[in-house]
Amino acid sequence: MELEFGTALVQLVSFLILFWFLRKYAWGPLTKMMKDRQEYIENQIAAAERGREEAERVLEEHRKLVEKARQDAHEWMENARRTSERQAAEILAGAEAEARRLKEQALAEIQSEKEKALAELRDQVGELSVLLAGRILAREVDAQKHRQLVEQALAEMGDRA
Amino acid sequence: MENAHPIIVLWGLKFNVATIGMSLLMMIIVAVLAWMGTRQMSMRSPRGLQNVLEGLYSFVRGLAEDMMGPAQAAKYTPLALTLIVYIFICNMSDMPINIITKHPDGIPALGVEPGQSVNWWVAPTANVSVTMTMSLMVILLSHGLGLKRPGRYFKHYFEPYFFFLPLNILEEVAKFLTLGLRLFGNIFAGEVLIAVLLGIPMLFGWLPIANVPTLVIWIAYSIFVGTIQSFVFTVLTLVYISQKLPHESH
Repeated sequence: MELEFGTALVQLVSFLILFWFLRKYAWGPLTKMMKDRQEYIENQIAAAERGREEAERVLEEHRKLVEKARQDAHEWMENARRTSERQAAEILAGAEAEARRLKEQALAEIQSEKEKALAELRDQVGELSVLLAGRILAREVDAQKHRQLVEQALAEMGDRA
Repeated sequence: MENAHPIIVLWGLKFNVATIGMSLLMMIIVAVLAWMGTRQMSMRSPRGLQNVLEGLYSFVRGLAEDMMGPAQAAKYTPLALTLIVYIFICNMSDMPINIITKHPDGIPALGVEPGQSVNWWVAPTANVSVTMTMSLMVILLSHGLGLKRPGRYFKHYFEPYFFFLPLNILEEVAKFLTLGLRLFGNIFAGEVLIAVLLGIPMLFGWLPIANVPTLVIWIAYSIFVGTIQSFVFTVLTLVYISQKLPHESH
């Protein structure tokens, strides 16, 4: 077995050509494709993680919104209830006051009517009694004396009335 | 009887026609396979040849990264890939067939003497000139890379002590010799034994019926050895390069 320098020379040149060819047309594209794939997968993972975080954030936001809406609704209902109670109380109070006022007014009217009627009655009774007494007693009692008797009687009556 | 080597002498240089022809043929096969495997690559659903090449790429890239780190590995992966594929294909090349011609009159132009026969189908890596060329190329590359930092490069020869210089020089020479000769020896031995087994009594003059089992076992072993040797050559190439790289510490 001896060294063949011609073979060695051809081997060297042809191997270098093979190496150049493969690096340019095979390993280059292969490396690039695998790098692309790695980047693609990394991007996909990153995007998925971002998406999940976003979804969690939105979900949390929604949860808060729903909770807030529930609280607001509760508050509003509470307010409405309180307002209606207050209004009802006010209306009731107003109605009572009105009723009381009407009643007092009525009582006052009754009172004044009664007094009026009594005064009228007194007058008429006085006149009637004077008239009757005058007719019955004729001259035995003068008008002045009579008048005093009637007044006295009326005062007694008035005390009882 | 050993087969003759068909050799042309040009400008005082010997060209082994069979080896050169086979080497070029294997290179073409490697180039075509690699070309086919990397056309219309699919990023999402690779299949067929692309899968094989991707697996090989990841494997070799992993080896390189173990030895020299990711940044350097990217630079030397193409060389390692070319070596492992080419050497593997070469080691496998002589397994399936042998084309042996008999020349009672000899071929004067190729240096074949009368009565000799020529084996045209030989593994390129069974030729010492081929493997030593590959080895020389790798060693020159590693030293060239080392010389980018001359101070560190020459200092290394005097480590750990000044008088280790002869040993260190010897180590570099040994690297060159063993890298090439290991590959050559393994493949050449396989080829020789196959030739020997084929030379043992044949039925009808061509069917080696008597030693088919031996032949099958030996070919299986040769396939194993050829695979291992292509791996070893590639790994050692990466080791030698990484030893000379500036950042490497060992």
